[in-house]
Amino acid sequence: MFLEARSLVKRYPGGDKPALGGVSLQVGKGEFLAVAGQSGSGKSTLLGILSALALPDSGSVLYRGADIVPAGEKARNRLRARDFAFIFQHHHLMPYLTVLENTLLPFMNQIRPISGQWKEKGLRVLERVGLGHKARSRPGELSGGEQQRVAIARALARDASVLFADEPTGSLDSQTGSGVMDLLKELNRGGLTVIMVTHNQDYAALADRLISMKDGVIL
Amino acid sequence: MSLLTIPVRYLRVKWARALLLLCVFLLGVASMTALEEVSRTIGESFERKLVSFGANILITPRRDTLRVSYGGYTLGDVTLAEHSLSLAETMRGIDSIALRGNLAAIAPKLLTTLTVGEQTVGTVGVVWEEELAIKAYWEIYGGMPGPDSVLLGAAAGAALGLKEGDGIAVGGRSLPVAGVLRETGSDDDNVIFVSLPLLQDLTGRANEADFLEVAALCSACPIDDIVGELRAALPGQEVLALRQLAESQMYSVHFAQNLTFSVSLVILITACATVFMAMLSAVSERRKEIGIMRSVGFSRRHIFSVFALEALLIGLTAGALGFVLGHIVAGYVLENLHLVDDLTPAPAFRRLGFTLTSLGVGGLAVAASAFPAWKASRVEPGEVLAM
Ligand SMILES: Nc1ncnc2c1ncn2[C@@H]1O[C@H](COP(=O)(O)OP(=O)(O)OP(=O)(O)O)[C@@H](O)[C@H]1O
Ligand SMILES: [Mg+2]
Repeated sequence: MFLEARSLVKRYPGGDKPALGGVSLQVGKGEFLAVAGQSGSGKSTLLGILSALALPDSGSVLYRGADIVPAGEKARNRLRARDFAFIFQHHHLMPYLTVLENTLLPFMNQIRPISGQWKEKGLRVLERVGLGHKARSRPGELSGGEQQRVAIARALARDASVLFADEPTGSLDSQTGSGVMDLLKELNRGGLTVIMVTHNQDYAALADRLISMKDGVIL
Repeated sequence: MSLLTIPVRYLRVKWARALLLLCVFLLGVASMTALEEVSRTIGESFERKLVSFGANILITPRRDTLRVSYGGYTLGDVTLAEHSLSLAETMRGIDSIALRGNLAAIAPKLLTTLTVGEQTVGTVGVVWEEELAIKAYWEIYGGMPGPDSVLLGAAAGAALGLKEGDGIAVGGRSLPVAGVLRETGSDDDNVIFVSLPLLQDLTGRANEADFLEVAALCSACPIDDIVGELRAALPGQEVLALRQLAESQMYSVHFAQNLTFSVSLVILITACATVFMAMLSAVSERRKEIGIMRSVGFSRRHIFSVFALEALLIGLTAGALGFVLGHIVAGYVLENLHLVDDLTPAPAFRRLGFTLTSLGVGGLAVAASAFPAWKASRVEPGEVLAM
């Protein structure tokens, strides 16, 4: 299995019920999975653990057959840098970096400047998400939909194999939201595995599969 | 585009905050540099002036004396043997000490009495250059004495009824009077001065001196060290520190240096505390950013580097600019207080000081931001989910 969760349990300090109460899940390569559920049902928590952003209290996450939970800080940094990409509801971009720099942020952790080849690739993926002309703009100068596209471009620039999207259209109007969804669907057709949280039933219908969560478990 | 882009862009966007931090460090470094250069220059000129108010070490031949007393009645000391002092040998000894560079002037003296006409006068043979160096307060009516001319003390000149340009018959030779000293209130008033070689010749005491006066520069070392080295190098002689004079000289110079050091320390601590506080508050403001960087694979070390580089950039810039500014201010202050002259030139721009200051302040800024940067590196990538 490409990505698999086994009995994930996560409890936040001070919470009376666990945010995740033993979640198991399998995602195939190239699959488009939609996650629905009420507010507070544990969707973001699940996505965070699947994408190596957070650790569960118990349970395991197998990516290409290897458990990433005990893998250690270094291995999980590498997963976040190379394999997994995340789009947050509130377009999390670095406000003082340009669009191109935000797109190439994963490569900007070295003192050595990144090569022209990567810059070209960055411009190419911005072109692909329709933002070629905004490469030098700041996130603040973009609309909400455009900002989400930058986050998508960031995933494309490094050829991520799984894209996690936590309500990527949540802060967008319906027209802009559809545009972003079309882009995600198109990328998914190109082979990208997408795991997306959404409240929108129309968007959820675009996925290959829909799971619903309630009180920390999958229904 | 590199790791450096992130702090550079941040500093550019938050320019007011960057400028504030820069100014705190810059003014600190500038005042330190200015204080240091001014106090060093003043110290040097002070020292040079203090030296000219007299010697602070006395080298005399060893004397074997015996105290004669009987039944509680003291008759005084009886000198059993008086060793003479070989000038060449003594000079060799003095030249051999490690702190030779601290000896500003070495003034040997030969004492005798000579008959001038009907009168007997105390006569001192001196090396003019050295003598004039330690007695800058001498004022001479007339010209500078030479190898074959005589300088008269004020009282001696009056007693002999001689003035500048007169001839004086000494030891069967007639020598011109080069000048008369203005009254000094010291022993110098009552004697006449001739050049040491001449007096050695007249008295038949070639290569001898009765004692040497040494003026040591003591801001860089305690006088005890110099005296210790001289004693070791000159086993046949007594070396005596004229302690009070030396200590007061050292005190004034050290006072200025200590003051500079304390003020600098306070300034630096203030600057570091400011950077510490500013960085710490920036870290809590920037948790989201940190989370974003973590979510795209930045390690804890990378996050630490982003913040440390930011501090380093501020520190290096402040160190470099501050040093230049301090140097300019020091030159200006010294000029305006009339503290520079031919003997004490304005301090030169020291490249090593510039480099070390820039690097040092850069390092200090990094050190001051180490804890905030460490705190930043503890932000978990999962936190960004909740923002
Ligand atoms: N950092 C946190 N600290 C404490 N409790 C948390 C934290 N994050 C989430 N929780 C709690 O865990 C539970 C699940 O939260 P989660 O954010 O996963 O829900 P969600 O399904 O994403 O909700 P929403 O649709 O509102 O985004 C909730 O009860 C929430 O209050
Ligand atoms: Mg959520």
